Amino acid sequence: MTAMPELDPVIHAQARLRVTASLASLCAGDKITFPRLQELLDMTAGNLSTHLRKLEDAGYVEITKAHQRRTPVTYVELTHRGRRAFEDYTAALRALLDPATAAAVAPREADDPDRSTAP
Amino acid sequence: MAERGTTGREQGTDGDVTPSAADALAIIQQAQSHAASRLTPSIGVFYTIWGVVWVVIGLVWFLAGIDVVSPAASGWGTGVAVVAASVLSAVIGIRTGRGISGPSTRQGLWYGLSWPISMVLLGVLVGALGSTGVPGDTMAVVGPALYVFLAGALYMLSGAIWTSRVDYVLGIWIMVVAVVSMLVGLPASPLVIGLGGGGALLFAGVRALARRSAR
Repeated sequence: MTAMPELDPVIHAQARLRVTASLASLCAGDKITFPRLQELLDMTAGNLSTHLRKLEDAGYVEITKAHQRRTPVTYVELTHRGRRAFEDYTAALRALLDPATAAAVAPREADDPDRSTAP
Repeated sequence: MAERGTTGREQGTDGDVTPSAADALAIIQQAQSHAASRLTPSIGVFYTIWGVVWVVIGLVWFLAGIDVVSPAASGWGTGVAVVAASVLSAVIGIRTGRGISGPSTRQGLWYGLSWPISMVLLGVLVGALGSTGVPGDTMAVVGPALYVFLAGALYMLSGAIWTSRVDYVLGIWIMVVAVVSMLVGLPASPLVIGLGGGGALLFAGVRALARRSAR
């Protein structure tokens, strides 16, 4: 198989791709707790931490620690840069798969009749 | 998540699996539809719950109007149905949003609260109207019509907020139902509301649930 130099290596790994895609499905500015993300992805805490650290090192993910009624809570969110990188990555994938029509593919923001995606 | 096809896979330098472009796109789609179904409440469930409530309320008040059941029993039935559906809606909304915070949580909270706040205030308004000496029969048509009209307006606004054509059209339809119930008058007005409004909600609910499960 030929190399794919244009694909962002930080995102282009199965586990981090799932993490990034899931975080990108949140509304911009929204963050999710570490346990909820872990439950959503069905990954071990150690594995998820490892991948989050790589995404954090690249500036794609921001991890914040807060306290809710004296209990520490860790929040994870995609940064603007991370969201941009994910969009670029997805566009690159589409271009690789179908160079002819990639340009014509509009971003997925259709009229959503059942409101299944957040605004 | 299930392992995807292995064609074109390479082992990355960090020991993580590097998928092919086609696999990567499939992983994205699967992760995002999984996230959407777990993190956002299914609107079809809400439509269905409230559709049932509307049909029940419409039927019990129609039956009260033709002296089949007592108005007191209809009142209790209405109260229980509304409280049960409100609690269920709140629980579903809170459960799906747990662990997430940010602008969308605030939006969801304000949106969710706009229903009980406006409904309770309308209740006070209708109560005040009733105490001004408006005949009971008139109030029995005007009161429900006002509630239905407000619900329609809120649905229409929901459509604008969440860019949902279904909500928007449903809102207009429900306001039309309110007007028609006023024109028809007793004893058919509760039936118009129950079947017209509740029926439309149930239709939208079943349609949304079918679409969601088809994804």
